[in-house]
Amino acid sequence: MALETLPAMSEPSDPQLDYETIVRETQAHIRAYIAGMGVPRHDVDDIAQDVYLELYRFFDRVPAEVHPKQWLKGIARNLCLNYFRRTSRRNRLQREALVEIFLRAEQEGPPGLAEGPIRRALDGCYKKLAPESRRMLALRYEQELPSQTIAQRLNTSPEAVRVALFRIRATLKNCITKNLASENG
Amino acid sequence: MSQLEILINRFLDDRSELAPAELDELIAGLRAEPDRAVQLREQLVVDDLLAQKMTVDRRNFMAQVQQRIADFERTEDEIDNQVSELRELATAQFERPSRWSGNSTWVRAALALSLAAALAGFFLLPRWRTSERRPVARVVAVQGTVTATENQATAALVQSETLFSGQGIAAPVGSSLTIEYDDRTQIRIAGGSQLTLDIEQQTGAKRMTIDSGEIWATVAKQTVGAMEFATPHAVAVVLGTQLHITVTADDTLLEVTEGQVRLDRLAQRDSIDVAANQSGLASETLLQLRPLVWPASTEGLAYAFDPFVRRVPRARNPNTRNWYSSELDRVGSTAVNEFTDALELTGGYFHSQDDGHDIVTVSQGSDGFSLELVFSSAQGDSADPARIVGLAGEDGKDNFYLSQAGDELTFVLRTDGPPPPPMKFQLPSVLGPNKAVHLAITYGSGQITAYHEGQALPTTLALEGSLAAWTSGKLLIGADRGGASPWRGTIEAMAIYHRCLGASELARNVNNYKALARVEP
Repeated sequence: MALETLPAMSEPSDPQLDYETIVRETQAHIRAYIAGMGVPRHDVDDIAQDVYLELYRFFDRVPAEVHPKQWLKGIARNLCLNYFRRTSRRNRLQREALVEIFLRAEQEGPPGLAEGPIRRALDGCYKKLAPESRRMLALRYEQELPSQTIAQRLNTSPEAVRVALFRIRATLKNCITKNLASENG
Repeated sequence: MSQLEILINRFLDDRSELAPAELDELIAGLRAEPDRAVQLREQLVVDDLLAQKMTVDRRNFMAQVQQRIADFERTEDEIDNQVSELRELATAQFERPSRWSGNSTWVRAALALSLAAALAGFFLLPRWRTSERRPVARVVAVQGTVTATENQATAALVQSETLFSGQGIAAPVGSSLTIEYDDRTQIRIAGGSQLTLDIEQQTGAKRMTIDSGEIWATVAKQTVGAMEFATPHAVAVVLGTQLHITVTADDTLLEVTEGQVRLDRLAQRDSIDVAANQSGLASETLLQLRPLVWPASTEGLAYAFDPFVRRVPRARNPNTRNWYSSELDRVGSTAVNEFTDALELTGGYFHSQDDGHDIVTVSQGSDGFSLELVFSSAQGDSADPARIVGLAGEDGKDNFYLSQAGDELTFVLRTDGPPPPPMKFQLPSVLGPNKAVHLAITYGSGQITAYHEGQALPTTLALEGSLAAWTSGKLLIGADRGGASPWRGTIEAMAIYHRCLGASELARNVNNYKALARVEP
């Protein structure tokens, strides 16, 4: 069924929000939220699709007083735990422990990445990166190369690649947080 | 760098890379240093945002959700139908008049058997039930003899005929068939194709099994479940889009011009999402996403320019077979459009001695030829022959040329066979400024054929021989070898091949060109 043909949510917190609007406005956050629980990158979107399928199925049951994103996060959390429960016992216990750690980190950490037009902020910050940083991101995210291969191409070590990527992401995170704060403020 | 930092970086690199003992160490470290846990979570979030932005198969999430919901709806409908059938079965059992007491052992046994049968029916009925013959689509155009086979009976198709599920369609080389479904989904089936039409019995979703050949589809938005095109190598799952599928013995090529299509390899259990202006290639050994290009193939291509990639004309070096860029020389009133790089001719002409020489050198051994041209004419009603493009020979004879006089086009190709008369033809649409047309002229198998927008024109010309008679000379655009017969108009793109392009390949090139032109700024 086409997204735009779906009904508006009954008595949502914002009556203007229909299904398609909710998906469009929350998907970047929800996918990143799922990734933030340690789900491997290649499985993030499968779980996110399940989250939005649940929203589709129970669209009229989302409590009016709950913002759809909060409801979606709750569903995402449960689906992530289900996802890890399918793994072996030891791995499952470790993954559940990690989810617990990341959920606490989300609650205790600064709200910087939680709200606002995060993809737009990322686009703006990405443009400010140095060309060599963008090149490294292209190798990792566009070409999906492992650190070992990137290291060979750049004539450096895999560990140096990991450190460089960590720094670039940290720079982006600071920039996004700053941009979102100035937009919201 | 601390051990915890190393573990964090490796975890970020690959969530499944750490051994169980290392994962335990990471967990302990994060518990001991909550700030690190916050930092790692933020890294995971930014990592995913970057993947959402940059990784090809993660860019169309909205379409994936749409597909997921369509799959869900289809499954729900299937379950509903199965439950309905089960109810009908059960009702039939209970409504049957019985003269036996319900306490009888026989009756109990019969009820137990009924229940077992009903359960078996629930799981097996959909698979065992033979397909019901249902109307699927109707014929809107047929060229040549295209047949439909059903229950071993074969009949030629005619316009307006209704097509049914289960019918096998055979379109021999040189024929074509266009069919239309109730929702205006239209499929054009090229000559040389074998396929079977079908419909999902439960939902009514459209199905087509393509054993070989080519189809072009404009699929309306599907409301009862995705339309599926199954080939020996993959299944293309479509909700509403424009696409082209080519099936050979080795692989399946899916080209998407609008919307998005999922290409699944069922045996290998992998899939790719092919978006507009991309193509996907599936074979037993690979599943690959590729951008749409014009021309679709550079095999036998001797010279080309286009507004997409070869903005500066390129010719093939006969020695290395590599491409080189080559600016055309200009004489008189001409311009290269600064936005589109199209050649604009207003009395002058373009030429290149080097390009002409190299086109001749790489083409001389061939017995096929093709010219593709995207142009608009500003000639008006002028009845004087004006030379659009030509390749002069140093012996004073032209290797080929195309000219215009009013609405009539003339094409001449030189071979080492007996010289034929010029081929004169008209296009179905009126030539005019700002009305770009795609014209192709091919030579092969003893015949010259012209195509307008990928469709063969009725006029053909018999011709024999190879291009061995060609002699080196200038490539000329907009005038003849003496700079006379000036042609006024715009040439957006041109490709010269030393092989004969087939009808389906030309149709693909037209589609690709249009798709690329739509997205070019």
